[in-house]
Amino acid sequence: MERAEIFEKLNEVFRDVFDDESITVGEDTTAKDVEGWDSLRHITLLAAIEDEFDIEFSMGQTVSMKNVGEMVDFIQEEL
Amino acid sequence: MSLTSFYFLIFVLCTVLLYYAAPAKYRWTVLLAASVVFYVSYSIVGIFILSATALITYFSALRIEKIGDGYKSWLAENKQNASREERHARKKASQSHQRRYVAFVVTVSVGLLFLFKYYGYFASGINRAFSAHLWTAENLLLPLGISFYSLQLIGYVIDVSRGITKAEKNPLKVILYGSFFLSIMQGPFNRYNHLMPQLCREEKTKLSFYKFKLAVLKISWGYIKKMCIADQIGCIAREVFTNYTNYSGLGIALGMIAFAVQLYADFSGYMDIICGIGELMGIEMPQNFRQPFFSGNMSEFWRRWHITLGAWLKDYIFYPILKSKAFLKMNKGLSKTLGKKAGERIPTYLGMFILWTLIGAWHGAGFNYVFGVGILQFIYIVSGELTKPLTDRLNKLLHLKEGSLPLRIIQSVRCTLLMIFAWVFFNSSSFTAAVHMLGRLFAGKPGLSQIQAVFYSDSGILSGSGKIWLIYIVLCVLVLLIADFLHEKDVFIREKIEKKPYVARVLVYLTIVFSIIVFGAYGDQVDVSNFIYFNF
Repeated sequence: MERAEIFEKLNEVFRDVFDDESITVGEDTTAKDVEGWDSLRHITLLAAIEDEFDIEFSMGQTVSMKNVGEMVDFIQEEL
Repeated sequence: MSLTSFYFLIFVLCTVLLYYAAPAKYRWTVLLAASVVFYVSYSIVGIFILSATALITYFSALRIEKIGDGYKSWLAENKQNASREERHARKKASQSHQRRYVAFVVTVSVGLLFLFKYYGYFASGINRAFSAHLWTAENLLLPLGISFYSLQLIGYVIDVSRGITKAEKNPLKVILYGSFFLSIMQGPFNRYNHLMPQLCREEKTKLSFYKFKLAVLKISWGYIKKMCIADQIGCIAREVFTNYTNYSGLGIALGMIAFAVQLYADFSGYMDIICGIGELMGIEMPQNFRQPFFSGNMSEFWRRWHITLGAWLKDYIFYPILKSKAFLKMNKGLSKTLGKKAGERIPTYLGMFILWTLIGAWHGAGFNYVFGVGILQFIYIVSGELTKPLTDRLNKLLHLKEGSLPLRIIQSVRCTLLMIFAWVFFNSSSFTAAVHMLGRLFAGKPGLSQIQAVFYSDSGILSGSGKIWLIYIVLCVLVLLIADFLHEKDVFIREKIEKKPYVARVLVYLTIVFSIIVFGAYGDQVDVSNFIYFNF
């Protein structure tokens, strides 16, 4: 799957999880840039992404991803 | 070897001198020797228990890495040919194999922690309830720092399994990681990939005179907090908490406030001392406090108080719980039946409840810890979140804008009061004692006479006029508040001092020395040897 396509799907997941249609994530987007993306919602977000792409993030990936760009790297690794 | 003793200062001086005298490649051996000497000054048996745990961790980490490497080399060879299902199955098998070794280390570390810290409490309880005669482990002394090094070693082995850290090839370095003298007593909780590259760096580092002065200022500030604030005000807290039946109303309130000041000055003072000593050797210890009493809510408080414990628990307990199959299943099931928000919230709150219960239990064997530093904190955080729409509406009604100074002050005071209340459980001998003490807060005659009673108690711990004591407490709180306020505003006080003219700097140095000599707590009545978090 191409990166652009992954980002497109990710935007939908983010909008759904955070109930905000205006969200558009990019390579450098971090938790600080999205309102409500705290440690509690992080797992909910990852679970929704796992469902969307039919993948499973390892715990190492879960705790170490620093921005959405890294998240996309991990998704590509798992696909 | 107490941190407030003269021997400790000599020990630090020798360690720093030997550290810089040794070739860069072998400096870590100086730190290892210093850590062993420091540990043995408390307990000889304990160092063997620590070393054995570290060696078990060392071998398990090597094995875990080998299993992970095996999967990676298989993947490199078969990435093109293997199907996604096959890759998935191989990865799962490798992770499951690794998990067995992680489970082994967790069992050993937690088992020892349970034996030394909790077994006696449970055995005594069973003996009382069923008139049984179980061994109550009265002769077992809690090994120094077991609550800290056990979790650190577990964290290391999990990091290796997660591919975050490489497994260490030298067993002595894993022992150094577990026993490092700057964090063995009260933390902070280190991460292997943050601490060890600093302890084992091979390039030569030098200590400039400027950095030396900054480090000494930090250490001095720590000693002022510990000896002039915590130990002095601690006398009031000790008097009220020990003899709470003699007091009521404002007398109890005074004791509660005194303990909050003591705890913060004691714990953060310790952190300043060890961070300053770390700076003398070019070692940056992780931050454990970030002006906690300026928090907007209780979640924020716990992101600013004992930061490394919270971060450790989040990464190694909270996330794995929430990401477990059972919790994800619960999330999905509840989302379908109760809606998205409830489906998300209920498992999260359940995970938080488990987490906070463990935090409480980590602090000590007793329901007062489990409740005061655990369940009650859970209640604070969850109720704060659930009532947020209501408080937002109230703030709007009162024209209090989010982030405005009046609202920040109200929020900070609220958090502080909630913690003062919770710490009664933390500092009481039992849950029942804490409830009785809190009951006395609202009993008896109101008035200032209760405060006078504390200062003129029969115990003789406190001497001198009540008025002077009260002024001293207010001054201490003000000093702590001003320092925290400046830090909150990113004002680097130490750097500011060092930029002042020579005479001003000398005045500051003399003030520090005289403060410790004049206001520092000494003598038989004052237990300066121990820090509150010591040996948790």
